[in-house]
Amino acid sequence: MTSLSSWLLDVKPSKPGELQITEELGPRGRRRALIGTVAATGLVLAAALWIVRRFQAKGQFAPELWRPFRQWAIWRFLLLGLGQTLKAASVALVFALTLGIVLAMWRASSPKRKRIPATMFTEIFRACALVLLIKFSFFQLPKTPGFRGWTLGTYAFVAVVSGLTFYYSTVFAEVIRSGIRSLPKGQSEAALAIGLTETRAMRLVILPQALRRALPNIFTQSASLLKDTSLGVFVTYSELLSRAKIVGEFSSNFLQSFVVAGFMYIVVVAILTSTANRLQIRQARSSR
Amino acid sequence: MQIVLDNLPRLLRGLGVTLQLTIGGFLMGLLIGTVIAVFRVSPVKPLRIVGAAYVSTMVNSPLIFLVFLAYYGGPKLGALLTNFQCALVAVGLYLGGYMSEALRSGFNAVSNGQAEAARAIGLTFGQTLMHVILPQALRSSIGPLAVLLNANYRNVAVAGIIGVAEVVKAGSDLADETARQYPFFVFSFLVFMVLGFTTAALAGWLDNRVAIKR
Repeated sequence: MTSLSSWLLDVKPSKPGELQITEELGPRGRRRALIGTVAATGLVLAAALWIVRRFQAKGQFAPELWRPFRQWAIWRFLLLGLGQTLKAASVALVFALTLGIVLAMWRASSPKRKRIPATMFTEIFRACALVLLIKFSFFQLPKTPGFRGWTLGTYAFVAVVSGLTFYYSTVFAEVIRSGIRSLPKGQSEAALAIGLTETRAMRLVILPQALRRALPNIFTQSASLLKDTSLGVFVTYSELLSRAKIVGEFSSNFLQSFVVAGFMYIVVVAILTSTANRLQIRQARSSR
Repeated sequence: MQIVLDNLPRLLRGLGVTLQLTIGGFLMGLLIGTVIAVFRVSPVKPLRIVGAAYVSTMVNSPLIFLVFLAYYGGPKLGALLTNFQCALVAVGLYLGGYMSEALRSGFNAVSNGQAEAARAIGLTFGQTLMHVILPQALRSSIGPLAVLLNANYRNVAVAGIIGVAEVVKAGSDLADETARQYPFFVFSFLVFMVLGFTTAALAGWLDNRVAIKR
């Protein structure tokens, strides 16, 4: 009983360095907190039960609505969609990260011919709505010489990737730039003092450290890049979400197919966000 | 240029919808986010688990997925909402997850001595939270919250997929009708620029006024 209640009433913060609001509770505090626990658990269970009852009342547990998910063909269709999502995300990630590094380096360098274009590019594309960029490239690409005569699917893919690349390169550039700025000034001064040129100091001394500092944020932003591939719905890119919608239309079980697709998204994206959290904790620990 | 001026009423209506969605979603998210953030620092484990589960669900799923869930899934459970309401609910729930994270980092910016001092003078958990921690946490979260608000102007553009004519949707509808893309593209871009700078300036001013000088 005591071990259960000490599990239930855990006053230690879950991560080091977090605020601890309460101390070990006294007898009265324990009693109160236990009442709170029971009440809270009751409320949560009641809410869960309400949702389940709602599903039941509206017949959403009916086996024929879930039957499609006993077929491999449906799973294959959705998993291929997930593959398309991952494909667009990884291609866009490679381009955006490369471009982002270049932009951050140029923005931190001293010659104006590099600094000004990089600043302008970053500020302009950071202020664009991603939907707008994707739609715009989808409609403009077929009119552009040199890009004519592809299939619709290719246009959709290229539009999603290029929209994501333009937008997220600026996001990554900002993340890396704040990594660069968080380094002590002594680093670049020492690098210049031993005779490295500015470019070399950046490439050999500053950037490796800045990237390491920016890594948790890079993971966080990659997670949102992965989520934003779902904007492909706007341009008929056949990724997970639009395929879930098709499954829902086909078997008229929207709720069920979105629940399945949502579960897939959460699992895949959580890999990235939990990596980001782990890295953040590790860095916080090592910097203390 | 002329073509934008001719269609200005419709674009401005779109801007109105964008602002309603953004600010409505922001307030809803702030409410949900505060509750979830309090859950996550409370000494009651089940509440922490619920808070963490909520955050990881919202932070790991795409906004457009939530919009679809509300729009296509809602009616199946008997929730008959207008398209705008669907978008608003989705934005609010989504932002709630992000805001609780922003607020939690605000909580952690409050030094432990504050909580200790509050306990030493005999304040309860609720009193410590309401009178000591939350006021400070909210103030130091202004920066991150402004970033969220700023991203939200552009994020609500996904509501266009269920036919809510916010500014991007209004612009691209007009682009389809007039077969002219660039003017409307530039218009929405400028709108977001102005909104972004205004928000950043306001947040900076507010931050300056209420921030705790440490």
